[in-house]
Formats: sequence, C-alpha cells, structure tokens
Amino acid sequence: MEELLKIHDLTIELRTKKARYNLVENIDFTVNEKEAFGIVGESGCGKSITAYSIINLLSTPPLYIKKGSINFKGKELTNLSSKEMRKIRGNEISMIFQEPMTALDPLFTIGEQLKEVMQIHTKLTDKEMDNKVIETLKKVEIPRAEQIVNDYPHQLSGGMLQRVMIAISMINNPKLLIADEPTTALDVTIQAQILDLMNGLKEKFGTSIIMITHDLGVISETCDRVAVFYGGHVVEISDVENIFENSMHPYTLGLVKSVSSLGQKRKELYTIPGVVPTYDQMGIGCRFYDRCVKKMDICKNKVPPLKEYSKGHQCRCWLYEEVN
Amino acid sequence: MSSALLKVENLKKYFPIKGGVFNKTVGYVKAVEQVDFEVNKKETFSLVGESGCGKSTTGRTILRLYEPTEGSVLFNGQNILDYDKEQMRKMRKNLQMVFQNPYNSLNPRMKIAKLLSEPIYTHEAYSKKEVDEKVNNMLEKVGLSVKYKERYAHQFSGGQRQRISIARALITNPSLVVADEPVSALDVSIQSQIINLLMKLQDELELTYIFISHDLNVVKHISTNVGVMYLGKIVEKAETEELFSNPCHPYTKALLSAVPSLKPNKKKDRIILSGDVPSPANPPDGCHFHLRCKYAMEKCKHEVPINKEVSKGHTVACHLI
Repeated sequence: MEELLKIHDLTIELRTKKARYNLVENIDFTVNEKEAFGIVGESGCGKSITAYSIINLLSTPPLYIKKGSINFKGKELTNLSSKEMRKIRGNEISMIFQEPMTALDPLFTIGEQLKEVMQIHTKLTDKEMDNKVIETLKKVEIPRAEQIVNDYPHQLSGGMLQRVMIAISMINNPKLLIADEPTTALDVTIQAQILDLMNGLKEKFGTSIIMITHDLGVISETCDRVAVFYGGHVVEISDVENIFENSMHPYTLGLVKSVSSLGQKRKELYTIPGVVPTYDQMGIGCRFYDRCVKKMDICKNKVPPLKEYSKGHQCRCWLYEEVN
Repeated sequence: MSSALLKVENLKKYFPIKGGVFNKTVGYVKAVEQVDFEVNKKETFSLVGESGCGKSTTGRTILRLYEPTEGSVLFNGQNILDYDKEQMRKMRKNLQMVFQNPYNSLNPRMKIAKLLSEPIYTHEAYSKKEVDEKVNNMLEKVGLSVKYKERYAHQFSGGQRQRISIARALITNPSLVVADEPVSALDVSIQSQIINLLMKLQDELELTYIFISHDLNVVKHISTNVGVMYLGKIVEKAETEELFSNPCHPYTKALLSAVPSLKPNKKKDRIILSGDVPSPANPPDGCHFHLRCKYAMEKCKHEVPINKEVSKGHTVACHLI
C-alpha cells in the first residue's frame, strides 16, 4: 500500500501570555491510500487540532505548529503559503465537520454552496456545474436532488445536512477526506445511514478517510487502522482488530474493557479511575501516569517512546520496553 | 403488579403552536401522546428513543415541570396531578431529577455547600449542624471529597459536576429519581464511573429510577424494564432481557441493529431505516412509523395500532403482531 499522508513528530503549541503548552506532542502516523484511518480519544486529547493542522485550519495565534512535518503525496504541507494551501484544501483534501447545522451557511442555498467549491477549484461552465451538483447529491443518496439544490440549510434535517456536507467534500474527488465526529450530532438510526454511506463512498471512489471520533463503535464499523490519542500523545496505533482484541496500552485496555462490559445486566462496569487531565496539568512523564493501574517509577518522569512491537502495532508505554 | 410505586396512565402533553396576527393557537406539537407505564419500587424503567420522540418531555411531565394536557400520574396510589401547589411542593422532595447537562444545571454563583443544602432548607427543618452533616455524608456517598464544599461549580470537571447533580437530587431522600440523559454529555471513561455510581446508590438508598437515554448499551446495562418511544408514543415495552433478545416492533429492531458493534470482523445485517423522524407537529396518520417501516401495509396508513401483549409484560403497538 502506498503512503498518502505522513505526519512525523508533529508538535502543536498553545501560546498564552503566561506560558506555552504543547497541546499535542510528537504525533507520528501515516495514512495509506484507500484506507480508513481512525483517530479515537476523549475530549481535549488533541484529535481535532491534529486534523485541523493537516489542512492549516489552526487558529494562529494562539496555536502554532512548533515542529514536525506533514507530508501529503511527497509535498510538505507545513511550509505552504496560504495561497498554495487553498489549492489543496477542498480539492485534494477536504473535511466534514461535526455539526452540519453550523457548518453550512444559512444564507446560501444548498446548490450554491456545492457550486462554490467547484468555482474555486475547477474551470467548469455554469451548466456543467449544475449537472455535477445534482449528480453528486444523488451519489450521497439525497432524494429529490433537483428540488433540494434550491433549498436553504434550515429546511433540511440533520441527517440530510450531513449528506450535503459529504457531497460538498466529495464533489472534487478528493484523495483524502477528514471527518471530524461526523455522526456525533446525529441519532443512532441516522448515524447508521451516514456510516453506511461513507463506507460505500470509500469503496467506490478510493478516497482515504481520517475518521475522528470518541466512539469505539464507530471506529470498529468503519476503520481499517486506528490511532488512540490520550492527553495529546498517540498512545497506540494498530489495525482495528488488534485494538479490540490485543490492546497493549493500559488506556486502550481500560477503554475497550469499560465499553464492552456495557450491556451485561447490572454488573459493575470496569472504570478507569480519575479524570482526563487538562493541558496545564500535564506532568513531564507519561500523560496517563495518574490514572494508570500499572504505573511504574520510570513513568512519572520520562515519556515512553512510540515503538513498533509487532507488525503494524505501535504503542507508547514503558511496560513493554522492559520486556524487550 | 400492585407494588407499583409510580403508575403513569394515558399521559399526554401538547404544546400549542401560536401564530397569526392575534397570536391564536394554530396547532399543537403532540410531544407526548398516550404514554402508559408503571415502575415498581427499587426498579429502573428506561425510556429510549431518538431526539424529539418525547422522552424528556415525558420525564418532565411526570414531575409536573410541565403541566400535562391529560392523563394521570399515580405515585403510591395518589394522583399527583390533582395536587395543588402547596401539596406538590411538599411532594417534590420524594421526586427528584438529574439533568442532562451538568454544565448548565448547577448555579454558577453558589458554592457546592449552598447548592446541596438548599433542597434541605426548602423541605425540612434542620439545624445548621445537621444540614452540614447531611451535606458531608452525601458528598462522601457520591465519591467527592468534603473539602470541595467551598468551591464553585465551574471548578469541577463534567464527571464531578454530574456527581454534584446527583448529590443534590438525593439529599432530600427521594424515592423516585428521574435521570434525563445523565451520562450522554460525559466522556466514555467517565460515563462508566457515573453509571456505577447510579447503580451503587440505587442499591444503598433503595431508589427507583426513571432513566431517559438514547444510548441502548447504557439502557441495557442499567434498567429492569424498557419502553421504546417513537413520536410521542411507547411503541414497545418489556423487561430488558426480553426486549433485547426478542424485539417485536420494526422500529425497535432497527434501533437495536443501528448500534455500532465493537466486533470489527462481524459484519451484521443492519436494518437501515430510510428517512427521518417526522415532525410531531404534523405526525403521519395511522401508525406514526409507517413512512419508515419496510413492513408497512395498507392498514398501517389509516389505523392506529393498539398495544398488544405478546408475552407477559411485553406489549407492542404494531399491526404485524
């Protein structure tokens, strides 16, 4: 498989008047072609800002890329000027946001919003664009596409709007689609529709997907490989089967255990003690140290390296370092 | 069963839609239409459904946070809908609520000690020392340190705030607690902590819960009985195990199959519903679900299905049965 996106040693810094914090630190992962790559973690773990940094959507200031590289098809994205970036954003890499209700402009019709993406990136005539809009809306299984192009966002339901968002992001046939919690704001039955649609599009068009979510269920339904984020670190990367069956990092283990024990009637659930630390409470060692059930002395003061322990299975934990 | 603590019969809540020049009522949003269920002591009844199906409205109407349009709510055999304001105020200490969002259900200007003692002062006459003791006990019960008493709500994380909400609800020693999506605003690893806490407190304090949620896994875990709601009606109601192993209504089946599974290899046959939930202001005729149901027959378009019992305690409102 060929590498499409390679993020290496990426650190994003929050600069305030008082101090500087590394919100995410030494992020390393690759996304291959035609692959669905999942990023899973709790709120505040840095999964969204990592995604935003790929297409340079970080709000600078206060957020800065401190170091690291983001390589997309051999091109270094961190050095691009905003003009060059604009050519890639929405064209080769596009994004779906969490809340379809707020991501669309209430003052423009659905058709106009779809056309805008093409006006910027292609040289099609107006007529051709109109046809392509309807064609794309049909691809994302929107009924009555011919009428819906003239509707405004408030006239559609959440599930429909998310389909429109997907249509906007797919209309230029991107190589990479970043989906930031695409189904979190939706009901379960609608979520099932959207996930089904995204799986279909991935197979039909060969688009790679980065799926950002906090829901392990969504990951297992859609992804090929997963990175688990905790407190701004990648703590584990593996293919999706191994994350659930052979999780290595104590955090992943706890997460999988607590979710999968749900549904057994009234049995006490497995829990990870404590709470997620905020960025200003991070220690200098492993960021999971306070909550870890297997902590050792070394964990307190030294961040473990992210290492490959079996083929395609990386983990950031001192536990395995000793064994080797 | 005769030991039902709470019995809800034929509950309806319509919200008027105002419009026109004279602000006349032009229609109704039928948020809750004919809801019947009963909860026994020390049991948990869960209401599950998608957003807008009326599950939260049902919960609030039972506590008379909304005045119901019709129906009766029997608590220990007494219809609390007949109570006047003063009787209801006294009653409230037995009926408490935990809200969904711990970020806006706690008063930001009150210290935790004040937040927790306010319900006691409202309902009972205790000395300051006794109140203090009660607050300390309660904080301990929900797993918070007593030293937090002098802090404000914004100094806590989501999970801790939800613990405070629970403490506030339980401090008057209620027998029934309505928990409206108590864990859905929380992170995954915190969710399980709160669920454990709710179950532990239920055993310790002999509580009865009405648990409102859209998360079927959580519901399966915590409840003894489940009612599935769709557009203001309970379409299926059964004991938890029965409902999850033998769902009868097409909507329940679809809802269960829509839950993402945690086994990546297992590709299950998912029932994907087409379309969205219709607006409760203008619900379809006949069975409310017929527009999205793949088994819809001619009959479903005109005739409202009635509740039928398929096995003991398991009722379904569907023409197929």
